[in-house]
Amino acid sequence: MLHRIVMVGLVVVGLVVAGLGVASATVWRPSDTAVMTTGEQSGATLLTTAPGVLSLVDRDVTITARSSDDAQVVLALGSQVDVEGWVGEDPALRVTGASDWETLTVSKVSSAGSDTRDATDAATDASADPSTEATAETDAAAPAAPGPDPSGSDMWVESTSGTGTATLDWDATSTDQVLLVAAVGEDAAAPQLTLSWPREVTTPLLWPGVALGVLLVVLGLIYGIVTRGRRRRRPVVVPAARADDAAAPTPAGGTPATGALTRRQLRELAEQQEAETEAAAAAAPRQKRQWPWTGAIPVVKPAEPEDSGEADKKPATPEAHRPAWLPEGTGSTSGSSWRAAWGVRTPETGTAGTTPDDAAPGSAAVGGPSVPGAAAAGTAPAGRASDAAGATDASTPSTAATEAPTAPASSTAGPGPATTASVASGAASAPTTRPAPTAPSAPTTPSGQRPAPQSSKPTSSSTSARPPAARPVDPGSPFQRITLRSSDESAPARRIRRDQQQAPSAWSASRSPWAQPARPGTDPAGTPRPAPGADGTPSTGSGRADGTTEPTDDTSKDSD
Amino acid sequence: MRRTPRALVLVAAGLVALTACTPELPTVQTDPAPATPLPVLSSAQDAAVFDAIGAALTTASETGDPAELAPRLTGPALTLRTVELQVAAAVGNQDGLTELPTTVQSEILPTTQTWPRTSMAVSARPDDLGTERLFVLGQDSARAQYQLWAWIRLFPSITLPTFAAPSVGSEAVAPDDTSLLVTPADAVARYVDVLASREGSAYAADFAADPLRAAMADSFTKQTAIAAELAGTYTETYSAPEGALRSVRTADGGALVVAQIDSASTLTGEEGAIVSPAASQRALIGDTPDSNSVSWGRTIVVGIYVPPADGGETGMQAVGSEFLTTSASIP
Repeated sequence: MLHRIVMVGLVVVGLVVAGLGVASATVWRPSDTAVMTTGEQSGATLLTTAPGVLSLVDRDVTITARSSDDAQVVLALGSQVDVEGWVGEDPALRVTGASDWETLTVSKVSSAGSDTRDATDAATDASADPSTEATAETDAAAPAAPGPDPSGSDMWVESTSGTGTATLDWDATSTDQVLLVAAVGEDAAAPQLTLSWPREVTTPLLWPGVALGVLLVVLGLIYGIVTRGRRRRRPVVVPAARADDAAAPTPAGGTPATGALTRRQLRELAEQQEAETEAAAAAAPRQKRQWPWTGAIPVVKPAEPEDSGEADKKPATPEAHRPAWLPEGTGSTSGSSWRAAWGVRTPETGTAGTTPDDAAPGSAAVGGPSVPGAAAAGTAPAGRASDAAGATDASTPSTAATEAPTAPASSTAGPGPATTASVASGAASAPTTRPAPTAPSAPTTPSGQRPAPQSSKPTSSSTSARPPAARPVDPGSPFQRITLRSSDESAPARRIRRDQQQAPSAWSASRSPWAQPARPGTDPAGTPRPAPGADGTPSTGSGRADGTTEPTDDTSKDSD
Repeated sequence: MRRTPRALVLVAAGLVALTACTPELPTVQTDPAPATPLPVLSSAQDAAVFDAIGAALTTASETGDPAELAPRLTGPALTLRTVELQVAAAVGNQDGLTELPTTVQSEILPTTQTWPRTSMAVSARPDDLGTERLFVLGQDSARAQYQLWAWIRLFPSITLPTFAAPSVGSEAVAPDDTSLLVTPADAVARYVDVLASREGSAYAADFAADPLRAAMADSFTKQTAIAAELAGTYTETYSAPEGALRSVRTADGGALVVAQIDSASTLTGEEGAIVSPAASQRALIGDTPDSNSVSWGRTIVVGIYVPPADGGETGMQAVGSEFLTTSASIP
């Protein structure tokens, strides 16, 4: 889970980063033009800029000034001394810089000349300070009518004028060149200056952002692939570890992966197994049981502790059917468990209570596993075949193994995993088993066949008596396949559920049957036949990597 | 839930990063002030000024209305030109108008950061094959335009002192500037004395001989002779109006001083004699009947090169002049 989160996180973050990088160069890209304005002003009809203001952003500046609609707006560019000299004592606004990317700062040069005050201050002063105002007015009063007009002076490097507004493009190469704006006309409003420059917009984040984003995405994907690969392999490892035998078989099988087997091989294998199974079934009296012992696996566990011992011994037992690697929890085991469960017919108490009671069954359950082992031996070929299936199979077995433990635990503990629990409970247990099989049914086929054999074998091998009793499975339910391959303890439960979902009808159908504990009892005889249910055959199994494996495993188990 | 604050932090960080990417607000940057002030007038501007002056001259000539000159002419230039127009009008032709080519061949641009400012220029050679004119322009105040203050005809074969290039500009020299051999004002005063006293002036040796001095002396001699014929008297005075001079630094540290000098002459014959004023004078006099006396005044503009204080042996030299009878009366 963590891996997935990390992977997804990396990918998402990568995409976001790349997206931000792109956005920084598109939607968030700053405007190519920087526009700053003084806004509404008052107090003077003259406005000048401080040196350097015109080239604040770029040399190419577009100057626009506005005033009253009927006023003559004059723009003049000249050297600072000329402009200042021209303005002289008249009140004027002075643009001194920018306070932000949109606003030009303005101060007012009072008639006093050198005094520079904030425009607002000046305004208040004007109203508050009569003397200042007086001077300003006297100055302005005379020329007030038209206002001083700078147009036409020899000093201007460039000038233009317009009515109400005036615009001028200027190359402000020299910062000494400043602007003089005059609004000429009666009651002309203070000029409002707007400067705009082309702005060189860089998008420094674009490519780094995209690169980083892509990198993250790639890392995430790689991470995901690696971790997934590991996850897949993990099961394999487990089984391998468990079953050294498996290793051996693998080579024997030629192909480690079930998938490697051709259909034909699989079919042959299946046939062979079937044959064996049948043979075994024939030999075994319990074959009457129509259903394979497969699914019950989880149940087996409860018995494990005690059984394990036995099982261990049993595997050692001549029974070649059960491969050494085949964990006790395997189909056979399950079969035994079933037998135990059903045979004893003490569903809930079953696991623990029953087992002990049926010392035989209990042990049988345990023995079941062992038996399966034996069965495996019996089915040896199948088992091997499954082994041959190789790693995949191994995984399955491992699962089985795991299951076995789990099952036992659950069974023992009773409540263990839901599934297990159900299994554990007499009747319930049955269903559990089934569900698993159901889904697998197709793939299980082989297994189904085997199960039969298994059951038979186990029966024959050690706990021959029990198996028959325990058969709760309905003929219709193909549940042999309890895919407990995942090493996770939780996995089995899930899988089973999944299977159920896959074959809901079957499940429901089976369920009802399961509900009836009686059946199992009856079934035992049919056990071996369940095989038919498992027509799916390996091929189907092969379809899914895991599935294949499982089926194979199942098969092996079953066969065992 | 724990994720929410984290997400917020991430978003905030992203925004901050983006904000950091927005261009930094530029600050006002100014070029360093030049070690020496640059010309306050460019060649283009200077040419434009001359165009304006030329236009004014042309307009005035065409209309014969001296008022057209006012915007662009001032000082002795305005006086001279006005008289020329008056005379032309009285005489009936404009042959007496001084040709003033406003196409300049070299500019002497001002660097004065205050007002008034002075600029000079040497015109192209006039069509009348006379000598080049040296124009003196002035701007009295910031809101005033450059005006033609005076012009002088350069003396033939004279070599003008070297001025700084237009791109550098030439500074104005104050009338009392002491970095010169003599201050401009003193130089003018001395020249006035030379004109008035001729060879008898104590400063006669200070100035190299020049056509203006010669002309004045010659004029004096003639008038004196006439007065003698008429058994009358001839008096002549020279004066330099205060402030009527413009000085610009030359490349060698000296200065070219252009000054206005007024002269007043009175020719008086014996009782009963009739002194007929010249045509140009008559134009100024109007209908006043002749008498035994005529008074007239000249407006003289002279350009004097004043070497620097350590100028060595080089003396002052008048480089050009213009003069015209600008007033006349019959007492």
